[in-house]
Amino acid sequence: MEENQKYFPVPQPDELTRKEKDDAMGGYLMMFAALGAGLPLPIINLIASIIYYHMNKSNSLFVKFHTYQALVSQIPLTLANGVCVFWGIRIAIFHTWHVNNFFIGFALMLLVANILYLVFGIISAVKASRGRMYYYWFFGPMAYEKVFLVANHVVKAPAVNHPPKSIS
Amino acid sequence: MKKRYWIDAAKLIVVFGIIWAAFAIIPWPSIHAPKGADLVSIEREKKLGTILMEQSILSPDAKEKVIHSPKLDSAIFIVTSRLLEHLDHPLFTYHFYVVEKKDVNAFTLPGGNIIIYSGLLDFCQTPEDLAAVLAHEIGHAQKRHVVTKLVNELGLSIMLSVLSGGNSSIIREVMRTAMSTSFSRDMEAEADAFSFSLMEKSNLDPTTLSDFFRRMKKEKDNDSNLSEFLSTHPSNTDRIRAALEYKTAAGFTIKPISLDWSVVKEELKKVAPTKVEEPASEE
Repeated sequence: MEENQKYFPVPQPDELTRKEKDDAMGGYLMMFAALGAGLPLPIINLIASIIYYHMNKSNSLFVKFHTYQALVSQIPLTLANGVCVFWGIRIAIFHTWHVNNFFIGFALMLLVANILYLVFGIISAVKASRGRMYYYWFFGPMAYEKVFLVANHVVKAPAVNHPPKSIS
Repeated sequence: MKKRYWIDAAKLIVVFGIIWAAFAIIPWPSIHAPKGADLVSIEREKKLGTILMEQSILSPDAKEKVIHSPKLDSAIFIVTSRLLEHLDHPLFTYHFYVVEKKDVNAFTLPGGNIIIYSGLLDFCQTPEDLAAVLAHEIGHAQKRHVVTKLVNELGLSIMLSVLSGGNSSIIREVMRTAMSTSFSRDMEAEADAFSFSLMEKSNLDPTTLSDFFRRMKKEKDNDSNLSEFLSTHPSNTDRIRAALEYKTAAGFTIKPISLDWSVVKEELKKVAPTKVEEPASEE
């Protein structure tokens, strides 16, 4: 494996401070608090998570991993919730669209997705508070690669030395 | 690593796509409260229509009388024949009654009984205007909206009590509901779509309904007789647009109804002179 394909070691619970564990857990809890405050506009939770991530990204890799996972995992769900709210407004307020099976199916699918997300959010918050890693399907490996891949942290200095012009 | 988690993303999308599809293919309307049309058979609706007509408009002591005039009857026959000839699988034998009332309105009663107020005939400028409105009303009857609305608003037990010879106050309430309450937006859209299709099959311009609605919207402030029609037939811009956007099949040709509408207007002045308002004369 090349140097830039290496990953930083995953921190173990006894290597983490209480504050790091709480900050990591906060990434998930922030999402729930903002979700309640943001309804029916599902964008507020995303904004809160983006702010929380940027506040904590210079923190340890463990905190950065959990806050990043909490952030990216809610993007598709937030967009889908937004579509559902927009669709519902067109039906209920503007009467320009009608309730049909696609809408009912979409709303119920989102209900399932939101319940699953709530369940996994609680599990991951508990895991984070105990200093454990917890990987969501797709989002977990993606966040791991973003945070733990060494290459993502190497800052290359701009090249100042070049071969002689007559040769190059 | 990268490739593997993108496969996971694809799996996630597929799983939720399947959940969406699974919920979408469940026939939800049948899980909800059953529609009136599922509860009242066509035969019962016909009987209900006969009872309601006999106890109301056709009753000797009815306040609003049915107009009988050879010229009007033949005009209505010409217009409705064009539509009924092209109606596939009619559920009822349709009856059209012109009632002396200045309100611009028409409505469908159970069993294919369609009431046309003389005010509507006066407001129409061409026989095609009337055909468009009647095609819409036939749509309500064919889609069984009337009985669905009555069952939803009054309950099945009221309908059954009318069928078993219920008292006159119940019948009055059923008539009031049938005549004064509006259909749901979905029902109106369905009846509009039916009207466009029937107009096209009858070689009439399907956009006529949009012109009619536009004229009603334009004149509603000046004509109080339009308020009843607009309260029971909300003519929003979407309905007008739907009519304008209706695509007729290739080779569609318009064949106007050969009927001199001025004769109908003249006849109206004779048979319903007190009800149809004359335009103010200029001296």
